[in-house]
Amino acid sequence: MNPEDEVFKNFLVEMGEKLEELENGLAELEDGFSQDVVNKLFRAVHTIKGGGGFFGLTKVSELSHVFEDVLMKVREGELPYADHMLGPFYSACDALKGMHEAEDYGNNSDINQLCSELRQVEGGPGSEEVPSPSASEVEPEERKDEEKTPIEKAPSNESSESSAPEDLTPKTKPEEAKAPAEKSDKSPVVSRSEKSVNQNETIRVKVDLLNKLMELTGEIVLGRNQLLRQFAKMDDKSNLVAMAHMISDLQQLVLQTRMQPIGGTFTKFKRIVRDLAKQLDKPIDLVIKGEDTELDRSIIESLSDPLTHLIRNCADHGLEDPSTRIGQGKDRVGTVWLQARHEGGQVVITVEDDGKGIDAAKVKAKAVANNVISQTEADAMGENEAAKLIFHPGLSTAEAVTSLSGRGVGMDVVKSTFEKLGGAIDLETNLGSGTKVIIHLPTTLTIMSSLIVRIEGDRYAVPHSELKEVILVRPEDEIQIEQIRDREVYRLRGNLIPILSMEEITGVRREVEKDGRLSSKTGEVLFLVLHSGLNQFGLLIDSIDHTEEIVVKPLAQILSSHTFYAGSSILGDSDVAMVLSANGICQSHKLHIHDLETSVQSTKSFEEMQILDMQEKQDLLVFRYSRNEQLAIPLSLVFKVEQIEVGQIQNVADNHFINLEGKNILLLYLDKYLTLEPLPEDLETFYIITPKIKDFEVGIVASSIEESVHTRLNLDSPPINEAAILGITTIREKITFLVDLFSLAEQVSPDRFKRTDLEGKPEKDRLLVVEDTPFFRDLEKTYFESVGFRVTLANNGQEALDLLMERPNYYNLVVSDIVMPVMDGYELVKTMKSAEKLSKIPVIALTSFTEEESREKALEAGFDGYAIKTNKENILRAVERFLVEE
Amino acid sequence: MLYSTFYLGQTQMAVPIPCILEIGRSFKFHPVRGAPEVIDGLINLRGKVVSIVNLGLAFEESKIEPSDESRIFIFKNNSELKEVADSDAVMETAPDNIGIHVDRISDVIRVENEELQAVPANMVHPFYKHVVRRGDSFIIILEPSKILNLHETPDLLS
Repeated sequence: MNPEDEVFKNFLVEMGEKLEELENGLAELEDGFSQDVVNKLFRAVHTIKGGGGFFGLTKVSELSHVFEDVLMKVREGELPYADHMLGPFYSACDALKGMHEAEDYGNNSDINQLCSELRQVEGGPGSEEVPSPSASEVEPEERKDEEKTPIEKAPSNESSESSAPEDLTPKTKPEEAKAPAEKSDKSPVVSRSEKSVNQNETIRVKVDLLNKLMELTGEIVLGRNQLLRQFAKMDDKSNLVAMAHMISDLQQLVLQTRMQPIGGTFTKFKRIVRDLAKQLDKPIDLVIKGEDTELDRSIIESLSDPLTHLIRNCADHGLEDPSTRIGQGKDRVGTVWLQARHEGGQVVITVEDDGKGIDAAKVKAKAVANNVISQTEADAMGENEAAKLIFHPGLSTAEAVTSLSGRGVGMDVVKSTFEKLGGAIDLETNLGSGTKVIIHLPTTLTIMSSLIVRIEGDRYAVPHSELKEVILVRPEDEIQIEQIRDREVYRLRGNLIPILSMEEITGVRREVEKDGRLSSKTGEVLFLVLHSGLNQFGLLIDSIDHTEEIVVKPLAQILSSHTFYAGSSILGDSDVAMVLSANGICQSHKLHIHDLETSVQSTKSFEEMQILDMQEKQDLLVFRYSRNEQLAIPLSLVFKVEQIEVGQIQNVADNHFINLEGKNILLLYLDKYLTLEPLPEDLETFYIITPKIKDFEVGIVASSIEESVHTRLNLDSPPINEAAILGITTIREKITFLVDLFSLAEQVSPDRFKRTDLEGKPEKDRLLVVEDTPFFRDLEKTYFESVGFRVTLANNGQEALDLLMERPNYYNLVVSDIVMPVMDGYELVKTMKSAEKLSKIPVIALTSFTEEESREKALEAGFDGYAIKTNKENILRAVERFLVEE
Repeated sequence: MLYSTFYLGQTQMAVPIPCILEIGRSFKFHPVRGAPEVIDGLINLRGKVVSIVNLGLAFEESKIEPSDESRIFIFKNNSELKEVADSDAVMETAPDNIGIHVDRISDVIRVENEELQAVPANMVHPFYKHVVRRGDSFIIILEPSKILNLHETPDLLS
């Protein structure tokens, strides 16, 4: 036997596939007997047996021979299928797998025990007197009871095959009628399913080839972008555009070739749950949904371990003992739901159980004991927030360590695994009714949206998934980069984060021409805030180039020790840039959460943190339209800023359009809607700002982008009566108009964004607005006042509650945000609905969550209505409805 | 087998032609900050990113500076090599495409297997495989898998 032999290698590959089929088939069998599945199992084992015999894998062939015999009987209906067969079937499958991987292909392993177990399956209890054929005479129930009866004489294969079961069966009763019927029923199905296998045309392709195809397609896309740029000014580029579209299609298709349904990974859990149920002595039902959801192969491969961990947690920690469950009025059988679905370009996987939930108090106590948080912080935490502490390294709430979980490692690893894949993990729990873990994942890893930055002459790509924010520190700023024992740190909203330079990361000093550096010129310092899991750090950069979709290529092995690079990439202008890895930088610099968050946070009192929270600052994008007037819009409403050239604009009738990534975007000149000086005429390039407002796909024209500031917003109401101006503030000692994008949208397309007319002045007009973000607080106030409400503001749930308790009969309606510090919207509404004096006041949730789920959750929590923040009409309508109904 | 020869300073060296993907000139190097000096940088070879080893520095001699005469020998990676390999010549390069930067390119020579001589004991070097005689001079035949995986020879990477 020569392992180098090509034919033999092919057989090993095939055997691997057959084993997988076998395992999947067994998992299907768990859901109930199906002739098709048994046929599939039989064929798989048969192939293994044949090949094993041919290549001299004696034990493989022996075991599969016995296995095949049993399966054949089940297939022929001689032996009715029963659940207890699964155990030995699985053992046999495992053993074959082991042999497949073993160096000697199992030729020296002992399989006698297994073989006799398998034979026992066909033997059944009656076999003590009568050889195997009697198996089919016995009803499954009976056999189950006597399953453990020892069998002295294992029946020989020959006898089992030769004797026909039906003719000596006086007591077959229901089986007799059923078995032949099944046989005749199923036989046509067999041939049909075999046929369909042939019809289902697939070919095996090397992954390497797919990767190359993927790579090349990525390059073609880049090439297309270069061509489009190069020929942007040509008049007739219809051919180019047509090709560009085809290339997009090609890219989509090639991406699809790497996609696989997640089902393969999910099926495996049936077995794991089955084993767990046995081991823990808890009956568990696993419900799987969305097996067809497709994900990039490389992502699927990394999902198995963390999902296993989560499911084990559900079974071990989440679900109670059957007796406890019955005591609580729950079904004796615990349920674990495993679901996958597509949502907004991402894949969402949820792992949910109907167990006891996470005891927030216990987690808090543990976290305090382990110095993860302080007692005051713990007291201020909501239930879900506290439950999320389990993602902290070194926290596990299991009182006793079991072999399955509770070693206190794991959840943090689970979290970082998903984060490495560019995903995020979240958790919801209800004490007594269960826990739900929600995982968001990108569908593919190969193309990443990245920020291209310059550092001392070189360009680097930073994946957006690792980038938190960009910060510019000016000499006059209050918070500067500070030095603690020759290390640079920066105080970012109360957290001290380390600031690294490329010199520190690479250990290479570079003498650059000093004028290339921003800092020397103006004393300004620019840095990126990157994160890997819970670690955050700043990376000094010189300037930001642009945003680009890049294909990340792995580093050559010759460079692979440089873990601070995730790989390299070819940019649109065909330059090569290194891709930085926040994860790798953290590891190579041993930046750990404990150095950063715990030790630093504990020096900061909770009160201080709270004050910081209260004075939450607003991120604004500051830009200019004419030369002298400074405007600003909230950064949270900005989708994208792009630099364009005058030549790219196309005129249709009176409107100006620009084509960006295949979309025609209407340009909005602000002097049409606001009293502003006109756009300077000599501009060659300008900027367009695309707002993040649904159905409002326009580009707001700006002559220059000044900066983005992080500031406490003090809005004065505008002296002039301009609808689209929210107010006036001072930014860097310059008067700045804050543009109200919603009003602007209303003016631009009145049909779509028509202001809801509330007839007359509402009678019950006393409104309490609970909102932590100053911008939205002011915005909502303006809206509601514009239609005649008297508005009182509260910064968070606790403040609102205080106000309500003070004058319980005063307010007619409460409009509340959900995510807030100190007390969130859910808690507020829960408290209100359980307080007698307040339970009658309607409460409307106003959030930025757009998913349908959040609506359900809000209504479940007790909210009377639900509206999404970014849609003015919605907001007003939601409020109107309640006042009219009353 | 056919060998492509080139010069490092005054020394003529050779590598088997089946290992070579292509030979190019005047590429733009994109430096990799933090990488050992022996790596000139990365190049964009029609969408492939290829790391380039400076052969001068690899032999701990003077660095080869890009010039009109200097050339980049880009090697096939192992899987590309496998697709074309003759069964009788077992060759290996590296898992990735790697290039070496040399002073100047020279002729292609045919060398029969029986002409290959062992490297004299006083000039043994991990990168040398054989020596072959041509007229008055010797040509050193290099072992590509060693140069292209020089990270496995740690003292050369200091």
